[in-house]
Amino acid sequence: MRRTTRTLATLATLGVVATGGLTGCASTGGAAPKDDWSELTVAAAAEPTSFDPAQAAQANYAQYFQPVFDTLVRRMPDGSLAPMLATDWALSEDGLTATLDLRNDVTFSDGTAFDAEVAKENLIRFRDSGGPFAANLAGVADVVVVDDDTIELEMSTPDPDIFEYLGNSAGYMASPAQFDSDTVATAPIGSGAYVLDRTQTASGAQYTYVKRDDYWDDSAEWDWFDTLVIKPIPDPSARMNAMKSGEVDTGIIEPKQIPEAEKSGLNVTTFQVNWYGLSIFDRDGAMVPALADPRVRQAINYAIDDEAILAAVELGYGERTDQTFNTQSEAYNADYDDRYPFDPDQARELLKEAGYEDGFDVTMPSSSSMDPAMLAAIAQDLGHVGIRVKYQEVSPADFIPSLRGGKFAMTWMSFAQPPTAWGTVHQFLQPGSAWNVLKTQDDRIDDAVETALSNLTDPEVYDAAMQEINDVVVEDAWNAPFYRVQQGVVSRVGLTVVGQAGQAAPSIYNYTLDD
Amino acid sequence: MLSFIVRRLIGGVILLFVASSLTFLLMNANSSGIAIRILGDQATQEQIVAKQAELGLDQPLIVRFGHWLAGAVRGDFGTSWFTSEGVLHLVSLRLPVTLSLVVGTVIVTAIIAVALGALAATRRGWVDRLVQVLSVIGAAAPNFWIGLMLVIFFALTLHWFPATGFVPLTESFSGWTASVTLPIVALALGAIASVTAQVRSAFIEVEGRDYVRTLRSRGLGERNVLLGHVLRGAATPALTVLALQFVGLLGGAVVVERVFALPGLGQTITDATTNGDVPLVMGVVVVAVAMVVVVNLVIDIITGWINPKARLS
Repeated sequence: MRRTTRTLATLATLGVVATGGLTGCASTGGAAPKDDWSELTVAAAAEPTSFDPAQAAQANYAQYFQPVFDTLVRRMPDGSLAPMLATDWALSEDGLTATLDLRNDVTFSDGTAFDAEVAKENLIRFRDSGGPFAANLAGVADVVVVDDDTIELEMSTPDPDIFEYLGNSAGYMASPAQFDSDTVATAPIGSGAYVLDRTQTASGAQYTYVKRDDYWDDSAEWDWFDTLVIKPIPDPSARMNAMKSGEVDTGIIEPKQIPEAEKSGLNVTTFQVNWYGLSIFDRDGAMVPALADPRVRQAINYAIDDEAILAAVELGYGERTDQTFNTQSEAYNADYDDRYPFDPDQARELLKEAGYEDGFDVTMPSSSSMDPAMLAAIAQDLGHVGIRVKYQEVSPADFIPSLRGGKFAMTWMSFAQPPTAWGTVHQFLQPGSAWNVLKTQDDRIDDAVETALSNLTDPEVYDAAMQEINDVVVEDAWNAPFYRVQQGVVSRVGLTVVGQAGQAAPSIYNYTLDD
Repeated sequence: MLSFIVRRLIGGVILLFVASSLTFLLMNANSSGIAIRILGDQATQEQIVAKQAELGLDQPLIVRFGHWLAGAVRGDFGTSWFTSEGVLHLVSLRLPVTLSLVVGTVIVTAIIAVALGALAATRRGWVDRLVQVLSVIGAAAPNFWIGLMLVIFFALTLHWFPATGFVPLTESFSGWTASVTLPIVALALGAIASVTAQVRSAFIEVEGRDYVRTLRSRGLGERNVLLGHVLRGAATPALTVLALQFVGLLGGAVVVERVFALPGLGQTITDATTNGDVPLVMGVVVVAVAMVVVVNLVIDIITGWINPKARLS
């Protein structure tokens, strides 16, 4: 008995000591300063499927490609474009010729020189590869080599975002030697400041990049670290723990983790990338006839208590909105952030006017990857005005394919807001857009698109046309956006991170050390 | 004994074939979305069709399985559709992580559960009740929650162990020990609870048998009776439940792997199944089934060695 008492006393002492550590410890882990910044360690939420630049994914995956592959132009954090491998670029008045002046002092890590022929080979290969973003260059009919350091992209149709694409996956320039290699998907050869060290890389665990001695840009301000380590950690809690313990220097977190990160003494940067809300696909009423009436879609917007969902699901980290265009885009209209305030009575009135006083039924997909609180709130809010929601469970893997296959009239969804207005139009609002899955066509939008594309070099006319498109989309309630969510990036004390417009994870150029 | 081993190995090969056939069938039951998942949500219909043809998804199921089987027999399990790396290479990277956890957990469980079970069975009284209560608590506490608590206390507060990541044994023994300690504890608590209850019951059952009473009545020392006879008699059910733990942990470690960001087989098979990465799923299933066959064979041999009666059955 005495031994038991002694053991319990020892355990209790250990507990007190440890609890003291919980409450009274000084800054440790990620909240503590770091002396040696020769290595930057980043926690990533995803991991690339291939290092073939033609198969490159964007958004969360960009960090893996940017250390190795320079792009033709560089996307700055605010979405503006700056020189990289191209020093100058211009679009012809008719939008059918994009000219780029290229650097002539660049070599790839295998010693091959970068020139106009190599740039052409990369661009044509990307267009014809069948890769995830090959469609971005689908409008490029040909690439003409004007001289060693000048190329012209001949467009079959104008594309206002062509240079934006060249600052993203379409603009990654690789050595032609990589294309002929058996390891095209695993051994990248670019002109970037770093090379992937395969001996220190294991997919699922970490990717290690080491700095090149002969990088062409001596004045680059972002390549201050000798080694870059990217650790894919898909679980948000594990990512947060890795940052709190100081095992990684930075990574993205979920909005609801922001208070925890702040309390832990980590740097927290927030920026807006995604809008959350209901995507209404069946605007012609093929599956749910009621959805063909704009008044019904407006009623859906009025019925949802966006503020309550924002507070409950995201702890208030976001901004209410009723539009899908990025705040920095040409189409943004601040008035549309509160076009449809929460007003169930107005929703019922609109339903009555449309002949749906008794409501209607709609089936939406649910998935284990979705927040059940979000789904419950949507069903409850719509139910209050008579719209009866039935959820059909879809596996996470089949969720996107089932939406793209047109199996559902509407769904809750999170979409990135492209930095430009054309990005939204191109992806969501034209009959051929990837996310206009049931091919809604509207003459007003088509006319505005035509006006915009005919006036690419006249910002006033172009911007007005884009705003006209936003008018149609919001007033006809093509969707029912709830809010723009705050994306959180956490970094160790001493490291500052700037968010990247339209991209969930910051570009690798966006990390700077504090003085 | 040799014919016994040969029979079990033939049974194992049949099991491998059946398991891989069923897995292939299930994985290909709905393969229409795989191309979209690889290409991303911006892909056009033409790209999707081209990717399906590239992956062979436009061929009949039986033809696809035949191709896979022909490769597998030659040791060629193909390339992951999502990571572009060889399946065997990927499995060889992940297997040491999961084996570190599973083998470590089984060893820790075996030592502690046998000690606790024997203690409870022989002492009875309050010791027995305490062990039973702890077993119930251990079995009820979810291992992901235990993992999170361990991270908060031992990694984030005391800084005794890393919160995430895995260090290979070949790289650093101390690093490996530090990286697997908390995950093993998180997994072992539940396993200990389960195995302790089995060992306790087996001990009590064997202790009540006539031959044990006879041994005691002949004046054999208590230590000799327990370690030489009761433990041997109780070993068969204990080994069986340990083998079941091994099999369960191969797949069940996934949650703990996720909490500690360990790149193990559990995480791999979950991601591969979610994505529809057929070659990788098939590779992992074959390796996992092979391990189950081998472990069961080894347990059968050990059981037969300990208890000759078991060889007959």
